[in-house]
Amino acid sequence: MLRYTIRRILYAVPTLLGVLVLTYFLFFGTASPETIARRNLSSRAPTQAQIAQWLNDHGYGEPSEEEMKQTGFGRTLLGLGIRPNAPPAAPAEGEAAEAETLVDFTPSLASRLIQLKRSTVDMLLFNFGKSDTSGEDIKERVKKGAPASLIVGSLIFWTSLFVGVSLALAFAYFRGTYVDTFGTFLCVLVMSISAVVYVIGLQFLLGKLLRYGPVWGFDTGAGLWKFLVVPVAIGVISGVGAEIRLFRTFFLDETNQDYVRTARAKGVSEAAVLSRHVFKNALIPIITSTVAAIPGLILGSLLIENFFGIPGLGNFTVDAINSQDFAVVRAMVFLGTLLYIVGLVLTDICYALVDPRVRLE
Amino acid sequence: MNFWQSDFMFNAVPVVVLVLLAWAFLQSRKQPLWAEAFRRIGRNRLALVAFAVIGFYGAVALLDSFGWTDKESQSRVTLLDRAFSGLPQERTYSAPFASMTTGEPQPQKLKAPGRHPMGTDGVGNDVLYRTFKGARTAFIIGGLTSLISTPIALLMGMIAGYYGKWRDDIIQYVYTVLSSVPSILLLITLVLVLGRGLAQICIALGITRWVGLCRLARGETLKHRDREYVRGAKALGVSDFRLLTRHILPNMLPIVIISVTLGFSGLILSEAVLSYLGIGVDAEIGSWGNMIDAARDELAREPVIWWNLTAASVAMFILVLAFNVFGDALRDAIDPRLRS
Amino acid sequence: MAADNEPLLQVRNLRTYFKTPRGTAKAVDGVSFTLEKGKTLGIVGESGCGKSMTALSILQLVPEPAGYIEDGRILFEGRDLLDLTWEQMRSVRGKDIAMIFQEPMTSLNPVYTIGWQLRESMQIHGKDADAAEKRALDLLRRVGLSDPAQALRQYPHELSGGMRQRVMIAIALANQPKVLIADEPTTALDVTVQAQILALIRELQDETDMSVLLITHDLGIIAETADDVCVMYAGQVVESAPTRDLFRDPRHPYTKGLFASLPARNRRGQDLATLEGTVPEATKWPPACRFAPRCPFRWESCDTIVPQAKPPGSDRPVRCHLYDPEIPGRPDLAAAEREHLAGDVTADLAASAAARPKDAEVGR
Repeated sequence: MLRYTIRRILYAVPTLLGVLVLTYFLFFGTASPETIARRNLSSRAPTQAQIAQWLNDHGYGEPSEEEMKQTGFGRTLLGLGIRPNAPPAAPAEGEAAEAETLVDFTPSLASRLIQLKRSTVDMLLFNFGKSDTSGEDIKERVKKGAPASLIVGSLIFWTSLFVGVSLALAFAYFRGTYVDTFGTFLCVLVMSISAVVYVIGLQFLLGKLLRYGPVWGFDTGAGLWKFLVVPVAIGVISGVGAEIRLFRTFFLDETNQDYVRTARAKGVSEAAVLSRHVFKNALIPIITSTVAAIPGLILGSLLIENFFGIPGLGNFTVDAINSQDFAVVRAMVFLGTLLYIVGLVLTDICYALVDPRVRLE
Repeated sequence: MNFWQSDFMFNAVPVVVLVLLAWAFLQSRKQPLWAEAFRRIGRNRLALVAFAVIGFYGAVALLDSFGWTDKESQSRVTLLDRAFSGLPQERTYSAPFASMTTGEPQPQKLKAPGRHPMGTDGVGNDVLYRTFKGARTAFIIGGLTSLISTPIALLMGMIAGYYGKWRDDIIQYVYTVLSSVPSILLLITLVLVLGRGLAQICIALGITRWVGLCRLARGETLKHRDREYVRGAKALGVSDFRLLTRHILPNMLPIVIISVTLGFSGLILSEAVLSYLGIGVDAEIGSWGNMIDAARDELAREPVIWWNLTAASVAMFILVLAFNVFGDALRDAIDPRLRS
Repeated sequence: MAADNEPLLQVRNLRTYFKTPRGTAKAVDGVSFTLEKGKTLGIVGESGCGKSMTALSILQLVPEPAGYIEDGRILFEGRDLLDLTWEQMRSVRGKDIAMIFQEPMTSLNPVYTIGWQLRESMQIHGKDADAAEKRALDLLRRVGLSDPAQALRQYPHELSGGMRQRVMIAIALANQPKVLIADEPTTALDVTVQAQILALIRELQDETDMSVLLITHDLGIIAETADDVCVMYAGQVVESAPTRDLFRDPRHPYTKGLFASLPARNRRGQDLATLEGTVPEATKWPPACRFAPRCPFRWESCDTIVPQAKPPGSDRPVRCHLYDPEIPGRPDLAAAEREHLAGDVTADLAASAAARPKDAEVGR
């Protein structure tokens, strides 16, 4: 079991590296550092010196050959013939400020690769650096926001799983009757409404029309649950329709299997057929699709946290999107991916626990 | 104005789309599988209603897709615009069928009192008109995205499944990496990088969407590759290209079409999410997402501006529901596993 | 309890229908037979003739909601199983009447151990855990698993097809049932394993004096194991007789056709006769005689007058006009025979079929 787990974790490493390279290129490979600097410098027309300063501060500067020689990675690059741009000639004394020469900030391949390597290592070590816009330390902000997101996210996750599995089981038990037909159609109705409409509409309905308690903000300690009920309810409702339908087909697929007929021929009662025989087999696809729900959970936290003023990571991300803060968005993409990959690894481990056919060696 | 933005091109696109759809329909009727599927759908009343609803939205979108440049304003005016040209733009919000504006300290009389069935929005546009405008955006997002993602997905999936070995490894690695990023985060990243135009959003959605279909296509190809008819054809010296396009692709088509139809509703819903996050289509292009997003503030006003949100979300709900119902019916009608 | 002279299981005029989009499929349409205590009754026929549905109907395991038992009586030890409540029926299943299936690969639950599944079948019928554990081990040893103690802890996928079918038999016998229904128990298995499984069922039957309802398409298996035979075609029993009589003198044209399509020693070198066509769809049975469209002796009356289950002039049930003296102008059997079926079909059939059961497959 341990070996299986370790091997599964090792399999995830190339994927994670691929994601880091992908996001690096999406964020920093497509936009030149100069544009990023211009976007984030507060003055409207930054001088060349300001840009150069910003680039150096945020780690986008051009390395010198001497600097490169100090690291193993740099030496390898030099060995492959990848060299940095020559440093701009120092402007002559006197004419410095006025006659500013146009500096070419186009980064060399060497500087790109060094940045890629550094940022990848930094991400893996959770050194997310500073926010491009506010200068806040991203790691600190993540630490502050994670508990709220975790509470809301896991509440939604477990509640939907519980509601989804029990209703799906009920529909499967009443298969072919009006309960089943009506229930599944209700699911289609529920899943045809946009999550955004749920968030806006239900908040309005509960908060403003029905005057149900606080619907905005967050608290620590005893008063917390009051702030949680509405967001969690919305999170569950917006996702559970699709989940019920999916789980129901898993259950029904299993009820058509031969072993179910065997169980009935043995004299097992219908309830026990579902809860003992069908349930454990259907658990296998259910586990997969529940982990596949993690991205949906992240989407939910973006919308819900932002709209209900929950100071979590989702809220933080939405703010970063609106201010085009690439450093923060990239850190969040990395964390979201990491969460998802951890979920996938856990799925495989759960598989091995539930399904004896999975080979451990 | 260059050729690509001329009135001719503008009107040619919907014509081409219509002709292609009609051709595909006529071709498919010749095949027993599809003829049987159409017969089954014809007996399913709910599916027919859903199809009629989709047809109605499609007609509205088409009305908004034919138009010509107006001499005076030098902007293109579509048939839909012309149909609503009798309704003047008001000053600001007004309730459905109201005669006075809402939300101003001193309510003013409307230019067209009682003639806005769904009221007007903040800048005085008729809400019903804006809702109709959203249909085209929804169809473009669904259609263009499918058009971008489906060919990539099929090509990659068939190559991976058919040739296996290193090609399979590379393609699998690429889609594993892409699918490990939670789709909303990948979408946000892509839109931030590519920009906020309608086409860019479709490309971004296409990149997040092709993975699922690619996986499906790969699995199907693998399945068919080892079937007798493919082996037989191979033994007769049929080229790989012909084998893929003439033998494997047609067998895969039903499953692809089901998945595209069911994917349509998800795409329409994504548009609203992007607008909510502030990275949706431009405000000038009428879209349901933008209307819903605007409602965040409108619901907090006194009196409450509810009609904008209601119109947009009901319009969206009905179309998404129709696609879900029709997609399910199509799947039940085609899916060979469900056939006895 | 039933009197000694009363048969253990009597099926009378059973009708099991299915609702399909194309109309009602009469999968089982008026089937009657009798199973005596300690005897083996074989039901033989092509796939699609309704023999499996007959078996499932006895335990009321017809796939719902499409399938339902329309009519009939299933008398077990004198009481009609169709009158029982769902709960009462549950206590009959697996206890009085047990069943094994064609697909040993999928008939066991993949996520539970063999031991768990064996114990379950005993515990739901009231055995306590310790006793069940002990008997499970005995049963696995009895059905011939080489390492029963280990098999208890194994999962189905760790066993071969033949082993799994032995486990299925062990599960079925766990509560010492009075009737064992075996639905194509050996079809999915290799020839050598088939013979072993059949031998095992016979041995166990001798030990426990249970009755076996054996469903198969394989005349060789019937010859080897069954005391009596029902030949089914298109939802009906077309002919029934003691095995010896049926093999010596097959009467119904369908039965004759089944035998003619078997390879036989004295006809080596000749072409095998085949039954033309296939079983019609269960929603569209022919109006009168259901075999008429494929029958080489077809006569005008075959399409208009429904043949009786047991014609007045016949000493055994044969659903055919050839044996009904009341049918006006029926064809002369001997002449027709000479014309259509060349050679002696059945002389050494039983021997050859028993020796080569795999070759004796019909219509698969």
